[in-house]
Amino acid sequence: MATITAQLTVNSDITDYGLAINNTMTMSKAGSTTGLERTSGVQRVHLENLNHVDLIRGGLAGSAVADMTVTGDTAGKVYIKYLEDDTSKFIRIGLGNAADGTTQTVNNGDQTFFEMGKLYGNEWMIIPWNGASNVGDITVQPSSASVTDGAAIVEYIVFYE
Amino acid sequence: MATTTAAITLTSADLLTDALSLSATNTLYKAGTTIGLDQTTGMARAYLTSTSAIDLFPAIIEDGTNLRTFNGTSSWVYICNKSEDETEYITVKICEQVIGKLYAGDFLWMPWSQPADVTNAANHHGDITIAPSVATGMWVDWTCINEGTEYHTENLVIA
Repeated sequence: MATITAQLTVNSDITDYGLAINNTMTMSKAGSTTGLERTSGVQRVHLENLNHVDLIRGGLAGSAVADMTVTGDTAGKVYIKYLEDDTSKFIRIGLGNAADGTTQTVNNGDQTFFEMGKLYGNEWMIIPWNGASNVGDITVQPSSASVTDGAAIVEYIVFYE
Repeated sequence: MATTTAAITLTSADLLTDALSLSATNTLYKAGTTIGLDQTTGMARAYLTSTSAIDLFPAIIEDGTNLRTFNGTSSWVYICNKSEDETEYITVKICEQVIGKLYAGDFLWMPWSQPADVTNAANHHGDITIAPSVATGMWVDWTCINEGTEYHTENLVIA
């Protein structure tokens, strides 16, 4: 059993009363106090075109990460960071199946791909991950990337059961 | 202009052969700018006593013609399951798709586009919902820091 911790700190003067978050979670297996013990390791990918692609695939043959369907009550976690100094550039983070199409859409109507949010330059996120086959893939699409002008570089790590 | 910073540190001394230590910090800006986010829903804390899924923020409602005011803007969402029972979880969804489950003590920190699509008749917009696993009562914290929240007019009738 491993011990993995994530410490989040948010500080803001956005209100006259302030806003602060200081929280640490220890990543455990679903429904237990036993720590997660598997990981994808820290991955770095270079996206050299604007295609909408799967970044992390759930429950698919050949996936580095085993199926983590919601019915399995698993407790996977995903951390993603967009390595870019230019804050006007972003990567679109989706949930679903990039194979549904390469055209960026907000919602294609059949729920096979949906945009969660955008990571602008230097931003990161950490979320739990269901990882269900096809509909649970985490997809990515850069706003700017090319072989000649520079790839969109994304780092991620998955912790899972 | 407000300044909001977010930092994460991921550590493990025994997951791998060598210690894992990963840190990141950033300032939260409005989409595509270096202007700080200046609005928030405030930190909410609720004791949820039903397993029904609920919207955490005002629902993104289709009007049949226009994208919603804050569609595509920059928002950051924090959700934490404050339960101390390791068997209790909340299921977090966006657009009715499961992102994942937050077990006791787990949190998430994610961007949110408040996406909407006027062409989708099913009204599957980007609402973030949570559903507790038990109806015996669970404490949950959440907040959103953003460029704006579209609050509904009073007595809104949804077609």
